[in-house]
Amino acid sequence: MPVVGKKYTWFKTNGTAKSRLDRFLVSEEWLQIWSFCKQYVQPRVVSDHCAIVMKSSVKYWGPRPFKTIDAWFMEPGFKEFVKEKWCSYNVQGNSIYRLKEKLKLLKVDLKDWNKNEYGCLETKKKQILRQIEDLDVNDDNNSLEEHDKLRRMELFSHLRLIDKQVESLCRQKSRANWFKLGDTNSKFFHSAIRSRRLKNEVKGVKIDHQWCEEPEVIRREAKNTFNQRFLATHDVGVNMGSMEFKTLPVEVSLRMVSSITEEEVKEAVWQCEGSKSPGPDGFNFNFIKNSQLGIF
Amino acid sequence: MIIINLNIRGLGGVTKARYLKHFIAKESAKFLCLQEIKATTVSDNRCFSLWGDSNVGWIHNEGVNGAGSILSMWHKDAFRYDKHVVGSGFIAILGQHLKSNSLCAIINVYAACNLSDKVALWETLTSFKSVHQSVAWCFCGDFNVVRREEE
Repeated sequence: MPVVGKKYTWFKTNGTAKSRLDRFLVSEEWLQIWSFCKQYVQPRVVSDHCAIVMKSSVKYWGPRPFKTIDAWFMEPGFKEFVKEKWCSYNVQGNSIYRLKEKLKLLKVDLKDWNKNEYGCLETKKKQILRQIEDLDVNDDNNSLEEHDKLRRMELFSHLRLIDKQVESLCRQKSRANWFKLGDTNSKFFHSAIRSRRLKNEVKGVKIDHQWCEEPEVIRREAKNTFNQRFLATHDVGVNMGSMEFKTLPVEVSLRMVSSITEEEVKEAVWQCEGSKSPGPDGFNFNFIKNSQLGIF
Repeated sequence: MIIINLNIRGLGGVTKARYLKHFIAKESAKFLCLQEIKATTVSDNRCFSLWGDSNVGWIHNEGVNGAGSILSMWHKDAFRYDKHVVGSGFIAILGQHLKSNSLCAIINVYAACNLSDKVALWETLTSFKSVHQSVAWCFCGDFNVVRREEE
């Protein structure tokens, strides 16, 4: 559980020792009920130990940013959908600009597709289970028609697909890369997802000795800080004086400035692990590799 | 669920009581775990005055001759007490958090300084936890031990 405030909870009165003797330990089930628990170490007042308060607070940080989901590619027709959309965009400009704008347009369409076509996996699973149940009940009463039997087999294969997709999604969220797909361990994945969320959450900021947890304030403060950073006008130039540097041989230095070939770019992209976290645009390398958009 | 944990080093004196009362009200705490209260007996009235009103349940573990005595208190409107287990160095309270309607166990721990007692305590706690698998567990207290060197 994350700790907010001080690092140590106990200080020897004469100042020779300090330690973190007091803590909260919670079980997996506890985090299922109170998922955003934090322990706040309080000022030391009446004892040589600090009081710790455990509180859980769920903050709304605004809409979640877009991210591509690897499991989309398991859905039949998804690749074709992406390709079709990709070709339909008509953007003018240089190639980098075209790529950026096309990805932006694709993002909108993907969001739409995810919401309307792909839908919620849990709901879909329930629907399929209900349909199978209905067919089974029919089968009990009287023998099924041939096409119903086929239908039931189809439903089962669809169900297996959805299970795989759920697992892939869990795996992507937990970012447990050392597990191969197929090692179903949903309990582990879920706990990994939860602990990642806890760890990654911005707990708060300290503004003029005042601890603050409101998303609005944190957002404003972050923006201000970086604004100031980037507006800094002082040049932090380092004067190296007359230091001697080692130099590269001529043929190597020429290679450094030669233009980058398409193959080199492609190789670099393909070498990247696909499930690594995406950039601000939300497209991870799995998407770029699998979609075969003809970017490369 | 808001839980306060504090090794108070003796509950005597007006300052400490006043501090606690103020602190509980400020955090609107539902559960309080105190260690080293250094008292062999605790009365209802004492707890009522600490908490600020009489709507409070409490369990006291006096330890050995008042050394290592611990006290757990809870707000009766927020937490429904079911049962408790008191052992050497801990008070386990099982109950229900009323707002989320979930069963939970909150264990107030005050671990001894010597290693063999600590090991015994941890063994008791683990076996106890394995009996009640489905409830949400929260251990808090003064464990008298650190996890890593930098702590």
